[in-house]
Amino acid sequence: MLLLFVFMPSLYLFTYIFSRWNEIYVTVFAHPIIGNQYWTEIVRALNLSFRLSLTTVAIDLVIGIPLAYLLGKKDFPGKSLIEDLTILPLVIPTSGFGFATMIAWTASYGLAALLGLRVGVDTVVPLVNIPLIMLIVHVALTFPYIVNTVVGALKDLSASFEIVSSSLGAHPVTTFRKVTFPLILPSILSGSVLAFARSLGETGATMIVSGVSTTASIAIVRWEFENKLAPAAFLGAILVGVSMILIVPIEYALGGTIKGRRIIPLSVESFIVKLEKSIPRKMSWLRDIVSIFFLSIIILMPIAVLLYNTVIYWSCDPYTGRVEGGILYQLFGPSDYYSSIVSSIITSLLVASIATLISALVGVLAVLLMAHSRFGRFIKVLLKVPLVVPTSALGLSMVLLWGPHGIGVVDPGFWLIVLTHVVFSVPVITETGMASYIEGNLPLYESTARTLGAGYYDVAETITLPLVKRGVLAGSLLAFTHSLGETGATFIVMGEHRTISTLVVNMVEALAIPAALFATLILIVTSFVLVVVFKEIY
Amino acid sequence: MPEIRVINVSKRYGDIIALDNVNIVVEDREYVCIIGPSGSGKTTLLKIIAGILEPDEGDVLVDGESVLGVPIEERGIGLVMQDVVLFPHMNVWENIVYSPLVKGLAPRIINDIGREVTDYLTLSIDKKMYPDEISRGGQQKVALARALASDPKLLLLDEPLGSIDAETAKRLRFELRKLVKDLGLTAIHITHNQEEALSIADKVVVMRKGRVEQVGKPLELYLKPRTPFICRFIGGEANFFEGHVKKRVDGHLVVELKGKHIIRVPKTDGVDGRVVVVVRPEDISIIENPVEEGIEGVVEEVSFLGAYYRIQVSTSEGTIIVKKSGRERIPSRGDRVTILFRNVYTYRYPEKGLVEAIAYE
Repeated sequence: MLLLFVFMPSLYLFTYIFSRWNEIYVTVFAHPIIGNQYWTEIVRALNLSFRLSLTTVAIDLVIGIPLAYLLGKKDFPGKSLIEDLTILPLVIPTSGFGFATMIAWTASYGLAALLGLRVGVDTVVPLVNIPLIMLIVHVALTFPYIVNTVVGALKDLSASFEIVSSSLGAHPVTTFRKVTFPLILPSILSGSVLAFARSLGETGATMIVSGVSTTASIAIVRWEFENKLAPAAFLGAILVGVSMILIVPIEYALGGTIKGRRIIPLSVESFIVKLEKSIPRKMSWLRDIVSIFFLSIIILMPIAVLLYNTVIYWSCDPYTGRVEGGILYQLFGPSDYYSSIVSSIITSLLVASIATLISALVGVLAVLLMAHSRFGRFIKVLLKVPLVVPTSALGLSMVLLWGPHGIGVVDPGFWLIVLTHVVFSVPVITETGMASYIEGNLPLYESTARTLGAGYYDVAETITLPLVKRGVLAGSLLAFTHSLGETGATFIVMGEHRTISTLVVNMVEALAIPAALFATLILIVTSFVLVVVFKEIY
Repeated sequence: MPEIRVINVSKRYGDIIALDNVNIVVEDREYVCIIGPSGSGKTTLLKIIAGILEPDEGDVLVDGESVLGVPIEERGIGLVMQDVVLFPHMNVWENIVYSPLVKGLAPRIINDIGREVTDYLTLSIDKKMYPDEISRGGQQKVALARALASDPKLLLLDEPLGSIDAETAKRLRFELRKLVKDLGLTAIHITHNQEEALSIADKVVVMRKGRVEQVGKPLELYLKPRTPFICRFIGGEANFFEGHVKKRVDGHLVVELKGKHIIRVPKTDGVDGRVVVVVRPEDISIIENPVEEGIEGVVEEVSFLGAYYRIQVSTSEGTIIVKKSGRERIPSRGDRVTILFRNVYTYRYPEKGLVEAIAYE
């Protein structure tokens, strides 16, 4: 099951490339008419994508670590709201969020305008040469990976380490540098890799804010639409390969402490320590304020602006006063976006339900397998792959594998969407399922049950399953939300069908902004509610 | 060198009172052990002295000055805990010189301190090893070396020997005391092991339910327990009897126990009416023939515990436990014997009942 539904689709692109290498080589590198034009474009797209992802991760770290410190170490009123805001980008429909961010920054009353700057989708960040809004969106969508893993690591870390360090006379900053940071470094690395891979593969929001720039994952979508499968597959394989090369070794190696060797000479070290000693202790509030400020700007503000716009565009265009520019007219007028929204919501809900159901089933089996098989650890690492495979590459892989060019069983459309969503839903479910397996100390209970005479299936039925139920349930909810919001892969595999998140992209492309506002608001509200429910369960 | 005064300190967690108006004085260069059952508030107290927790009420004075609000790193304490907490990503040497390093001392001095401490503790472990490569006892010694390298005024030890095997722990406890005395440090040592506390402390503080039950020298606690709880907690098992004072005869009280036996006990101030009589198993004689003030019973069980016999005698006053050295004559199961108390402690009957008064939590 795992092999068929999860691993094969993620890795099929490689097979595809190898089996048609000659054809692909000719198209990409030695096309009779355009020569190596595709290759040039691939390099350009990859170049932008890597610059973007690396910068994104760098900013993620700067924002994410202090925020994680705040969430992992302190209690304060409003903490749970901040926690919700950091989960939100993981489940928010990316196209909707991209849209919200775009209007929040480019609108005439947006933050940039207030500061007297003119920001558009073509505004470029100096030095790294990346479109500003694209960078903001990527940071917003990926920093939770850093925050979540680091918060987890900080909570697992015994408070005694910091207490002992203080008792030995270390300034809090020194304690962080010498003790806390090295101990959470493995988690920081693993979070960074996830964030990097996610940024590399981000499609939904990027499509909306990209303007004329083309990232690698967008190039895949475009080529697929133009039926240029060879360069699309080639680029897709490169992306999958890069993500895997990054994730597999790091995930496999992690779990221990990184035992460091002194790099800095003692004399320099003393100097740094003296410098740290001069930092007033009271500065910590500054760190907290700044991280909350960032959070509000990149997450809260787009949502607030979206809400505001929905209100002012409700009946008519606020600037021209034309009824045709209002949300109501677009929904119920001649373009009848209302019925397409309703039908796409139904499609989305059906897809999400069916995909989640199948994934939960596969996921539970996978958890049992991981817990009891000798290859458990290997499977666990492999299951990270679908989480980091760029979604558009995944979509392409699905079409090539199941569609008319491959096995030819499932055409692009409803069922292919379901199958695609299963691929990334299973790992989400196994992740939380395994987490509750380990935290629940299940091996102990299982072996106790064994000593009481229970057989393998008895143990699974009476001990393992009931105890990982909550984890699987929480993971299913997360997968459901994820499925509702997925854009990149869905775009490629959907055929004639529309899910709500892809509909938003279509609307923005058709410049039906008011209708897009409304649809986006629905998406975001729904995912926020699901986040709250998720927290209740978990 | 410091004198520590804990004054009227209270600490609450919601409805739970962790510390209730605690007062303790630790003299300069004194080795103080704080003992008590789990949940008695001893660790909370240590955390407040260390500066890890702030008290809700009260004050902590070091040499007459309040240290409330002073950050941990400026308190000059050496902290050694049960779960060792060596930094796992640093080797033994880096752990030991951590404190001089983070205090910004010159490199030459850092190395000197490290060498001095390891020489003093005769630490024979390879300094390049990592904490997970050495034994638990070795780890604790490194933790101690690390604490000493910070040149502490006050050593705070939270169950430092709690997770070490009994044999090593016994050896280390005396090394610990010797070191504190040699270096002229002040130490506060928390333990739940009363034998450990009695054997090394200058002064023992017994805590129970967030209060200080009694403070005194080890022998004093054994010979003059102030409450029935101390009788039970210090020195192991004890026999408890309820009774009431019949009359006062010059210097003595005549007490009738629940099972109608009459005994005479030394007069104790403030004791009258309903009383609790406590007798330690080692303060009881067993004789073969009935005597006045003796309690007759049948030997229920005899078990040999290595250094002594523990004999359980069933009487009309309940089951009475007696300790006898193996060299004495030991009765066998089923023998009819008479029990005679050689030394008793008498207390006024506690307001909330005897069971509550001697319960651990």
